[in-house]
Parts: sequence; C-alpha cells; structure tokens
Amino acid sequence: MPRAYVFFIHGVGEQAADSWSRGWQDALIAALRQYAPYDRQTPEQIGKDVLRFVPISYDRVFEGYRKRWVDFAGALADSEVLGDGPLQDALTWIAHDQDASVRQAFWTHALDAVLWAGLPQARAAVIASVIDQIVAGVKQMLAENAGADRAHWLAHSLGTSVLHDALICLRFAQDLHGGAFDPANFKWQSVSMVANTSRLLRAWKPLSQGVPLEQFHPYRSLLRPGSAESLTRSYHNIHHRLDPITWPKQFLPAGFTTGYSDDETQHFEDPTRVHDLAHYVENPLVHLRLLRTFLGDDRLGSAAEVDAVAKAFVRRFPLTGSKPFAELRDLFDDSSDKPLTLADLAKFLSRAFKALRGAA
Amino acid sequence: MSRVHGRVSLTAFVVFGSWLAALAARADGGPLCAAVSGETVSVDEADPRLDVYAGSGDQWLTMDLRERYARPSEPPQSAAGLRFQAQRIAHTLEESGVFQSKRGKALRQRLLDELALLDAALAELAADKPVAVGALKNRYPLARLDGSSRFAESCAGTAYTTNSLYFQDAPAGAQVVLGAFGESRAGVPGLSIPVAGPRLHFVSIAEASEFRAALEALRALTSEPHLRAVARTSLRLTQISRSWSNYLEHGFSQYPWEAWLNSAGTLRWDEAPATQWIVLHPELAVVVDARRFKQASVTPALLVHVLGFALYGETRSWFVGLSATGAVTTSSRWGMGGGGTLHFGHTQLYSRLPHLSLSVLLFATEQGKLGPFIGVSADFWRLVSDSSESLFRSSLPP
Repeated sequence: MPRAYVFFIHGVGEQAADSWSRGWQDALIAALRQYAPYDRQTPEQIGKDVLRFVPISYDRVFEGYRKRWVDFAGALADSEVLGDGPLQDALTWIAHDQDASVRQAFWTHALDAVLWAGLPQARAAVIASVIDQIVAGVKQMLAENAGADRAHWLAHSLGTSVLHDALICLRFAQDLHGGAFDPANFKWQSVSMVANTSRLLRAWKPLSQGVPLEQFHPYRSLLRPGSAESLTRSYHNIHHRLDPITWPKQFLPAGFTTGYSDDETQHFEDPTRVHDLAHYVENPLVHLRLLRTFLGDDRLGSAAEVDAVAKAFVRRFPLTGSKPFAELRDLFDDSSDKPLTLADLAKFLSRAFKALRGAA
Repeated sequence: MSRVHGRVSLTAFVVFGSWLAALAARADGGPLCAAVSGETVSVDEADPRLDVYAGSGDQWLTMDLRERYARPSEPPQSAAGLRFQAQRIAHTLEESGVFQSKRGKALRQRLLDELALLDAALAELAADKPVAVGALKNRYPLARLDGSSRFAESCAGTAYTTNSLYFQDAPAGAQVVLGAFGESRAGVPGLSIPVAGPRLHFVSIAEASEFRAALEALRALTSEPHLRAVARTSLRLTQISRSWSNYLEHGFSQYPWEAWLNSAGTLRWDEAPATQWIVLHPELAVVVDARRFKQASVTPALLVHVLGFALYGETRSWFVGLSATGAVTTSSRWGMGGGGTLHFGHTQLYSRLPHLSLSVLLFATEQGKLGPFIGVSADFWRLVSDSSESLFRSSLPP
C-alpha cells in the first residue's frame, strides 16, 4: 500500500533546521503507537513504511528581515520616512511599548506574521520558497509511491495562512505546471489546519497574475472541499478553546459541509502550551482525527484503546477552565471579526506570544 | 467497544447487511449508498495481511498479482505506448477468474469502463509523442485514479475515512471496496471520540486485491507524464525561489521604507522583481579628492542616495543601479556635496565580493569652488546586518 506523505508547515518564529519537524514527527508517531497494530512497530518502521514526512519551512525569509530590522528598531520607529503607513504605525507602537517582554515577543514571533500580513514583498518571497518545496515534495512522493497520490497537509498557526495562499498560487500557475497541479490531475487528500490564521492574515493584494483577490478569501477559495474544483478532498479545522491566536477572525465557515470537520479542544495543564502543536497532537480527539485521515482508516483506535488514551490524557491535562488570557479574550468578546489594523495585529500578537512565551 | 477478532459471523452480517440496506434506502440514493447496500464480505481482522486497504505495506499483493500486473521497466511516454500497456491491463482483468461475485464483476466492469475512457482519451493524442499532462487533463483527469480519503457521507450523515473510494468525481458513481460502519463513541466525559464499527469488504478479499493491483499498475503508468510535468515544474520553481533569494538576501540592501516602497507596485510570487527603487539610502563611504589622487588621502563620508533605482539581471544574479547622492565628510574642509552613484554587485559572488557603489561627487571647498571627489562604498547596511560569519570564514586560510 502506498505510504501517506504528510507535509508539515510551521508557525511563527525562527525554526531550528529539522528539529521543529522532528518534534512534530515524534508527536504523531508517539500518538500512533498507542493503537494497534502500530503499537508493535518501531518509530523507524512507521517513519519508513507508514507515514513519510515532508517539512516545509519559510522562516529564512523572515530571518533576513528580522536581523536587519531589529538593530534599527528605535531609529525606524522615530523615522518619518515611512510616513503614516501601517507598517510605520506598527513599528512605532512596538518601539514605544513599555513592556520589554512584549517588545521581545514582537521581534521573536509576531514580526513574521506582521511582515506576512503587511509587506507583500515578503509574502511573495515566502510563497515562492514554499511552493518550490511543495513541488519538490510531490515529485519525491510520486517517484517513491509509484505515482500514487497520498499527500496530506498539517499546518500550524501562521503556516495555515501561508499554506492557503501557496496552494492557491500553485493551482493557478498553469503556465508553470502545465496542468500537473490542476485538481483534475492532482488533489491533496486532506488539509488539516491547527490554530487557523488564514482569515486573520488574509491577503489584501494579489500576488499571482490573473488570479482575482477573491480567490485568496479563505471561505471562498478552492480550499473549500466538496467539489470537483476543490484542491483538497477534505479540510479539518482544529483549535483549542484557550488558544488566543485563534480568537481574532475565527475560522467558522458556514458553507463548508462535505469533507469538512471542526474540532475544538479544551483540556490543558499549562496554559502557555495551548498554542503548541505537540500539545494539540497529544489530545486523542486531534491525533485520531489526523491519523485516521492520513492512514485512510477510520477504524484506527478501538473503543478500549480510545478509552484508555482519553483517560490518561485527561489525567495529564485535567484543566478545562477559561480564565487564562482573559485580557486578550476581552479584546474580541464583542466580535471575533472586528477590523484590525496592522498595528492592532502587531499589538495583539506581541501580547499573545508574550503570554505564550516558549510555546509558539 | 473492543476490537473484533476472528472472522465475523455470517449471522452478524446478515443483520448488519439489513441495517445497511435500510440505511441506503433512507439516504438520498447516491451511487455510494447503492454500493453500500446488499451483501458484504467479512475480514479476518486477526490477520491484517488479508485486509487490502487497512494499515500499510503491500502484504496483500500476492506473487501472482505481481506477475500478472508487472510494470514495464521503462514506463512508456508516448500515447501509443501508454495505450498498449493500458490495454494489457484491461486484457489481464478481463481474463481474470477471480471476479466471481456479482459485486466483484461490477467492480471489474467499472474499472474496464475507466480503462476504455482512458484509451479513448489517449487515442486523441499524437501516438508517437510524449503525453503532456495538460493535454490529458481535459480528456481524462488523472485524479480519478487516486483513492479518496472521504467516504459516503450521504449514507450515514457522517464522513468515513477510507482509501478505497475511486472515481469519486465520475457521474456514474464511485466504487467502494470496503468501509467501516456503525459508529459509536468512546473516551471520557468532555472528551468524546467516535469509534468506527467493523470493517466490511463489499467484494471478496481476492477481488479487492486484484482491483487494487490493476488500478495501481494503471496509476503507475499514467504517473509518468504527471511526474515528468512535476519534475519540470520543480526545476523552474527552484529557479524562481533562488531568484527571490538573490533579490532579497543578496541583492542591494533595502531599508524598511525601501522594502515598503518596493512592495507598492505590481508584485508576482513567480517572478522576483527586476527593478528596485533606492530611496534615502544611507551608506558609509570613503572619498578621495580627484585632483590629488597621488596623495592617496581618503576621507570618511556619509552618503545618502536620495533617489535611484537598480536593475537586476536574469535570475537576479547581478544588478547595476544609479542614484542621485548627497554626501557629507568628516573633514571640516569640505561642506555638503552631491553627485551621482553607480551601484553594482553580483549576488552569487557576494560572500567574496561585497556590493560596491562608485560615486562621483562635487564638494564645496573653503574657497567656495566645487571640487570633484570619487567615493567608494560597500553596501553598508548589508555588511553590518548580515551575519559576518560567512565573510569571516571565507577569509580564513583553507
């Protein structure tokens, strides 16, 4: 049977080469080994015969900006060269924020999202890099899998928005791929979005010739499953009730039915970990959704196994309250969809990542 | 519910089959539901090797199937070659004695129908030329040959996961080889997780295995033009990604305001910009009085490239630029200066040869006259902001 290829795409912040995807792989394989028949297989066997992982990274693009801009943070904020543009507003605010840890969270984490959202040049470069890696991964899969398409996506945080735009741009790059990535010839088996930011960080400027901006709207784009034109056969949205990154512009598509699922998790032990992908994957609701999808096997996990894993999980993650991050939650209490400027986004993400320090 | 071991009893399947039939009758009558109803075949779950679509590996692929559906060592590229191989698969299927049950025969016929469609599509193409995936797309979409992960939502109101759903987008309906039915819940209060019921084959294991072997042989054949197109795409995309890297990481540096301005125009992800505005771009330089070259007296200066632009070559591997420049030196003998600057650099030689700017400047002397100066500067911001490690390492003796 052809192996499933799971394409990973990470969230914000500098990602140490390979180690970030190793953490994801370990989390998924550890979860899988709780269920028969994989409980009798070694991680190496699973990695070789069952699930192959294709990490896609893009942090190098943002690192280039980060290392140049951070040294000039103060000067940039006081400079009038940028005028009253949204980027200037964001930089001015962050330079004058009194909380050093918020400033640090901006430069280490939030900057990526701010650049992705506010600097089309950075967005285009990220898309080019990501699409290059995606197609190389597909080429590898088709060659190793005798042509069988078993490609799945697992995206996290900023990576969900990056993935959305990259798949749309690739689909419409007919001149480049000659139809190879037309959904008639190639469909992703599934797209799983964890802590989905595709609405929050939606494109405001087209970056693909001949593709209307409307195609980059996450509710109306071809990522919506269920039609012949869909880029994916299924779409899974996963979010933790306490994950502050998912509060603004929540992903709640009314029209997604066929092939769509939405899972909200609530258990935690340490609130600073709720945004962490490994934390998500430890929840059996999440890892069974993912693994059953990747393996094409709804029977993964007998009732007895699921009972045991769920009990152990709840023992380790006993809390379900809603007190943490109340200040951040209050910002969106009236409406998740309230308009956000780039400066608002920078403020919110810096404060959220400060709260989640070490968990992004 | 514990995992079912051993062969599920016939009685249980009669009851379960009735339930499925009732389920199908209740549903909206789509082809998937029609496929679900009726007789089912049990799976010996104690021996996963017998289950064609569960788990991983190719234990289900018997030596006999391997031989009968052996793939050519060199996949054909031409339409004629593909047709020949596809017809060979169809012939093997037709000759097979495995498909005995009513459902099994229908399954084989469905695949033969697909093969006929593919054959007709290939017949429209030039026989002796490599098949282009774009040309095939409108005649026979290759995605039809891939198993789907979604299953029969209209049957039970729930999506089941299986890789055994084929031709999902075909109007004549899909083929379901097996699935898992009878969902229940497990877990703990507050964490309820669905658990699927027994796995059912809708044809015999042997029929399902041969169906799969034939289909995968066919997919391997048709993947050749697909893989060729993907490989070609990959090469081009690597060039595009590299040109973006050249432009942003190794091109003429951009201060944040320049990055913002250079984002204002039309941007395409599939083509790194070939031009770059230079606006209020400060650089440290050394200037030398052009009239006193022999004295080799150099003076540090701050240059500000007020407005200019750079042009990049193909793949953004080099650039040249011009800008109007203002300057001030550290010497009290000279006042403000101004002139023009030529910028040039090679993005791939950058680690050995930093980008340089050559300025021709006029400074006001103490006598009120204008004196010509030559200024030389490296790409100041790129130098100070880049990690100097690579420069440092390149300067080390081997």
